Amino acid sequence: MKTLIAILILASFLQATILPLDLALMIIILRTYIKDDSSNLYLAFFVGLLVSHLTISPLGILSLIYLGLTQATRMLNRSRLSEHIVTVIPLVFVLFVVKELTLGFSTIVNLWPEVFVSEAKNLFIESLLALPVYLVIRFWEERFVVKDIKLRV
Amino acid sequence: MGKVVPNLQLFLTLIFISLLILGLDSVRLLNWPKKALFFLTNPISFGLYSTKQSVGKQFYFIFAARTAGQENKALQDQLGKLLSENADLRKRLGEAEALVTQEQHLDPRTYHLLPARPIGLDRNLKIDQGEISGIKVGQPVVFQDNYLGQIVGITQSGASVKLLTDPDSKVAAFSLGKEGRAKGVVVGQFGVDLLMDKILHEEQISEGDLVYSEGTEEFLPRGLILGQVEEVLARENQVFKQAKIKPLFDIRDLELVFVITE
Repeated sequence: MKTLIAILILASFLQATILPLDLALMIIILRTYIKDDSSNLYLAFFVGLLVSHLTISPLGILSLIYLGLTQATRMLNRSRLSEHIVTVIPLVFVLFVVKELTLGFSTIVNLWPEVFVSEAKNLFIESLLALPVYLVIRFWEERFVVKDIKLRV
Repeated sequence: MGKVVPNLQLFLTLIFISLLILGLDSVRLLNWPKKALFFLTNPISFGLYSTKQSVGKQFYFIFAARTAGQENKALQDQLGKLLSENADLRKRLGEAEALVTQEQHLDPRTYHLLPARPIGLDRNLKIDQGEISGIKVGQPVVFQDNYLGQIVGITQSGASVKLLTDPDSKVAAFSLGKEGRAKGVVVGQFGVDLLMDKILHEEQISEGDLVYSEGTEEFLPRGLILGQVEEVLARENQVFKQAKIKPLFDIRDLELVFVITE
């Protein structure tokens, strides 16, 4: 968990300074997709706060969005669709579109076409990036995270 | 409901806290903690940003160096072409000037002159005009009003000129100066010098006199300059005097020569 938190903090700093991609949200969504756990909600909440702070957005707004998307992922995770690995690409695409729309993507479309093109490009990259990130997280969770085994006595 | 939406209570709690933080932030009640947190996060953000900038600059330098290399190569090619074009233009200008000068010295109404470029020089001078241009063996080659030699070999598109300095060259000549005139024969000396021989002792010749063609040969007009007297060799015990003649032009400096075709 500590490693995951460190990676999420690093991803938050990276997306706030260098990369125009929402790496932190992608990692949380994909981890939720792999491991349905209530800790994902805490992660979404705190990482949302951190990213809001780093990007100088109103505090709490990204927490709300991240929490909503994480919860939606948890609900989708229980459907049969989630059995196939490739579904992470449309999942990330749809969730990120929802996020952009929530943040006022529609107004940007009307005002600055070049911003719209840039955002659409980022969405496309994020969707394609979802699969390798998913595989890395899955590999990490399966091989390096110790699981609690409850023995029946 | 709890089965459809997992951890609903936790989810709603966190949503409520988020809304509370949003509300508090909108009324600026969280400015102090935010400022305190900025002291911690700003150096990290700035470090990452400056790292990106420096890495970007390095990549830009590589890109710029590559572009500059390509531009340099293109400019060098362009420079080479321009130099070549410039050389060609200079050559054409020289030829045009030679043509104009030639017409001032030999009247084109009297002499039909064919311009030709020297393309090689060994014992004979090679020119780039040949049988196609109407050149025939025996025709004289001049520059301005100076006699240079005679056509001795010919091909379809080239000709060889036996120069006046050739050891086999002999031309009847006369010198003309302030003291008088002298007749003789100008012969080539080892391909570099000229010697005017068969000058009678009583005839006057001195250094600086110009030597002209006599015109007794069928191919050669009278009055073409052969050279200038450099030294007079007169010995009492010999029947004839001799004079060293120096050509007025170095054949290697000429851009264009002219063949008298008629």
